[in-house]
Amino acid sequence: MESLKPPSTLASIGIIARFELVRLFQTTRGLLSIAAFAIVWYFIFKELIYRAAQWVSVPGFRESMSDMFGQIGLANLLQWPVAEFVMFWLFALLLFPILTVMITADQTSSDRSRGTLRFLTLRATRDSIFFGRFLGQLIIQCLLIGGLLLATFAMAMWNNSDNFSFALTSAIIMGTNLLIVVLPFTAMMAFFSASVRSSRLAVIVAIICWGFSLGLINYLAMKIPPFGVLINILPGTQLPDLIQANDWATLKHAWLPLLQTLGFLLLGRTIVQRSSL
Amino acid sequence: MSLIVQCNDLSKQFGSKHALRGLDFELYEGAPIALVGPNGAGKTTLFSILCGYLQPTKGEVTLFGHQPGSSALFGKVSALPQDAQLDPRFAIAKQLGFYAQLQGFSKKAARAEAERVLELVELKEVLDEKPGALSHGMRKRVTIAQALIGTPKLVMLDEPTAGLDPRNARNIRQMVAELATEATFIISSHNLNELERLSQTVLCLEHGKISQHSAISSKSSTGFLTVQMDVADTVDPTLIFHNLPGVSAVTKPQRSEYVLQYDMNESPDLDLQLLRCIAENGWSYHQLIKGKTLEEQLFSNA
Repeated sequence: MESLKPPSTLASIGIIARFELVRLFQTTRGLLSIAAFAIVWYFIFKELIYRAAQWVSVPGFRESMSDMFGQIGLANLLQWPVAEFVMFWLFALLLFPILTVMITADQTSSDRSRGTLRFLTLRATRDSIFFGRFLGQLIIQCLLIGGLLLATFAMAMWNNSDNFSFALTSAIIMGTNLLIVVLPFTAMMAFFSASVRSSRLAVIVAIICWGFSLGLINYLAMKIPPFGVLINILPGTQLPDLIQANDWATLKHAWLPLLQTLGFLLLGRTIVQRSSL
Repeated sequence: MSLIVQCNDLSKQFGSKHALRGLDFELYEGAPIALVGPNGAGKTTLFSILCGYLQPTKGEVTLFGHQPGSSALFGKVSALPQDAQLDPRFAIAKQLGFYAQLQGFSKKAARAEAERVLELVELKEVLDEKPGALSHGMRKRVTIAQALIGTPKLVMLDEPTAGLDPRNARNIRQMVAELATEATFIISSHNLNELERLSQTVLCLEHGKISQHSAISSKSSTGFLTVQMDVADTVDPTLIFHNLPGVSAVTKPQRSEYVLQYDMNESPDLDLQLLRCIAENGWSYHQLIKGKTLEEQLFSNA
């Protein structure tokens, strides 16, 4: 047998990322996760988005609700032109960060505790494994977000097909934004997954660290106001601003999650490079 | 013979515990190499450093001139790490195929390669099973199969036959012996009989240091014969053996086993004389080994 040329780092990242899709779509646990995700969103669509969209569509309702939403800082939410997307946007921004933390918690942790990473590191660099898994999780998030946007779009068309172009634009803008929203959470879980030996522990540690850091930064900012800038290291910091924005103006908040993603990826990579297997 | 492993002053510390202490050795391609030593001697630590799983605290190590874990070694170096397990969620073919793809096989060829290596360990029938459906021994053989994907030049097996039944252990030994012409194997095991049959070179670790690094068969003029035989408790063959020409010492390392040290120049056919002596005295023997057993070589002071 002739000796083969191993794939380049980029090609290895691609192979590893594709295998994450196999993990989701061709394993029992992966299919159960999709089923659970679909059921949760089915009820959100059926009981919340569909009904709320009907209320929002009632003439005069938007105006009366604008006052109430304004008091809780959501004045601009109703500026989105398609009612179904208004409600989807609200629920997606609230739920996706939490779902991302749970879905992407096992990027490398269980493979490390099981020893499977030892088989992999004989065939791929640690960078390929780390970034391949991250990319794989991102592709999965894209598919989930895409599926939900498609469902919202279908619902909007079912209720009022005149909104086609508005609905399409909203779907594209929201899809882009949601992907940017989940990026730092996915990178944060790549970091925590590289630091501990189980996905459950990764979720617990991530939540504790996030909550503790938020409390500490708020306390420090109260005593010494310049410390308030540290809040920007926490994923999701831009969400209150994002929910207030409309249309492509939403992307002006993208720099922060992109920087956070870069920071978490660098930290995670350092951990992966230095850790013993 | 080309150099495959080079260690210079290699040390590894876990906290205050020294797992490896300044190892200096070189290994060359060829017949399987045995890595032996008692529990806690540092065998698995050395394996882990050679595979790039652990970083040494001090010193240098290279495989084929590259740092362990370097991408230049992908497909060239493979291993059976101790206690590493396959992912229980995927079928065996899926996982081995994935590893094969990472080594450069196309998706289609990867499946064929998975079949080939499973056939080597006589487990082709489990191709579409998940690891959870296999016995401990079968899982071990599958993890040995992953080390054979492609055309590795160096295969490191940490306790490859531990937990296997005698028949499968024998099959693995046979497989290693057959593949030894294509790749150099480094095998760590507590089973000295197994290593004796497979290896030509032995690396003995004790308390993190190399206590011996030598070829199993010695070329000095002093020879050894090991005979295993049953005699009545009232009889002591030691004195009789001592009187054979050229014999300088006779030891009895364990019950029913006698080791004769002799001058090979003075008595080149001592084995024949020994057999004649046994026959004349009406004893029966089980086994006659030219040389010492590996256990004797490593752990006797003679």
